[in-house]
Amino acid sequence: MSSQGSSTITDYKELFKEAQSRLRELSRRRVEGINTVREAVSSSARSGSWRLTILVYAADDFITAKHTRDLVNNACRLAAHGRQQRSSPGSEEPDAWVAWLMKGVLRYVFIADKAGDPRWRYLLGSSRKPAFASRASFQVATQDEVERVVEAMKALGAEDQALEQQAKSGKYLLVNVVDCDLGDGRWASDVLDEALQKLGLMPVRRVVLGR
Amino acid sequence: MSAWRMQPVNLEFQVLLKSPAVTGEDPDSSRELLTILGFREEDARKSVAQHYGLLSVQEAGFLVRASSFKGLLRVASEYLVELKSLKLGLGHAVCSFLDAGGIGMPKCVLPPPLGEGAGEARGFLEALKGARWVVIGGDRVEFNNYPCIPCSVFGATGLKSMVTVSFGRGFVSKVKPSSFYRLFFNEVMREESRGGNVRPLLIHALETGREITLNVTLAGGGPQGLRSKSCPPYTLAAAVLWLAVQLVNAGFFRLGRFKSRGLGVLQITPKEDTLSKLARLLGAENNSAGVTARANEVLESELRARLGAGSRQ
Repeated sequence: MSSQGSSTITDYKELFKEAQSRLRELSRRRVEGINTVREAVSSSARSGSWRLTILVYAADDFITAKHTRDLVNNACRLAAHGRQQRSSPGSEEPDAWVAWLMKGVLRYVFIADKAGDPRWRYLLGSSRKPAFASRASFQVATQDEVERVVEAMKALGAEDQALEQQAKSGKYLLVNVVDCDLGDGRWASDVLDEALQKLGLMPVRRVVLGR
Repeated sequence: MSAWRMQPVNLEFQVLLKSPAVTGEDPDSSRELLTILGFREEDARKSVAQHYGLLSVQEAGFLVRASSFKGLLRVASEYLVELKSLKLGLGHAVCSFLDAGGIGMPKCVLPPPLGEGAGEARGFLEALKGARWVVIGGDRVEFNNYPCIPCSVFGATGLKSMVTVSFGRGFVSKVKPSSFYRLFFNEVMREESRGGNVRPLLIHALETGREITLNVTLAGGGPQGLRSKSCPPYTLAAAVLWLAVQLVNAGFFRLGRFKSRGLGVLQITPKEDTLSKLARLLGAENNSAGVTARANEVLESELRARLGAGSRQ
């Protein structure tokens, strides 16, 4: 792997190890980090520099990659192991697990990436500050679902920015971002996009509602 | 019949759950969940105790309220109206986004704090004047954007909501919870490295694919002037409601817990006669695209009437 530089992350164990080794170093700056991101978020709301962005990624390769399948299988296995005598119908589909675990994986990407700014992990919310919710929501979707969502946004006046990569995919990762200017010339969606690309997800569309 | 005396309008929507929705759980699970999410044990206990009465009315381990859907539509409308206003270059249009000089999140209230009082009321008044939502000249007070559009439609302190949301018939039989277990990324990885035991989180969720019938009634708009400036109140309410539904359908606003983890995604569609009613209220073509286009126009006209150059003195 590595979680550094621009290479794609292909080993979650390594990612976890790297992030764990940084956690102690970062923990004393935790509140400061939350406050910095929180201030950037509220200041963008006050100044009106925010928008709603949908990032769409071709996700077949990511979902079927061995390290992702291993992660999902482990999660399913551990969940099944912990069950008592209770039925557990549905919702064990891999896609649902991918969306569920994505937030945690991304958070660890931010923490482990020495070249980046670990404060951005708080773009995914923090339970230490009540009501400081995640700026991004994840969903694995089919092409039809993507079209439905994009059409809904376009009807509201959103700009559909088709990107150069037009890879066809059976499954897509849809990321809804309550986007904001982070005060350093970057938008939250750019920071998230960078981290998602490190995970091997290929951006195919970006839909922006706002200025 | 004038808009002032218009009969209530009943709109019916079908809500399809595109992913499971966690809308409540028993107190023990709730306390455990809060601890997992980072709450201290004592804070988790306090938080659960505070909501115990609410949770105890649940049946079969889940709870969903019609008012949650109203809240969902309201917050979607707040984002939409504010964003539209910013895009038109009209500045802040929604009270919860207004920069009120550090007094927190102001809310529209009737009567507005127009006196030269001290503290928050004064700060609020200054913020309203600064944003030109209220123009005060001599003994004349003009309300350009007060109450703001979402408060005008969904209500504010002292101003009754025009929108009532309830469930359609057969709601309980249609919506059943399912239970499943979940682990977070760090738990999955820790279990591997330490070989210890993890206790997966048991979640009671409304199942994917279930449908809920939602009745939305528009009523009590009053005369044009207080709630709307450029059109009858019902027209504005219909426009705001419809556009908010589109934003919910785009996945930005979801139902229940764990929204960022893929849960609570909804698709709201109007029944056929509801689309016709909306088209009539808005004076739009009787199809979804026509209603959306006209709703956008109605909202933009209203924002210009409230905050455009012509409305300012």
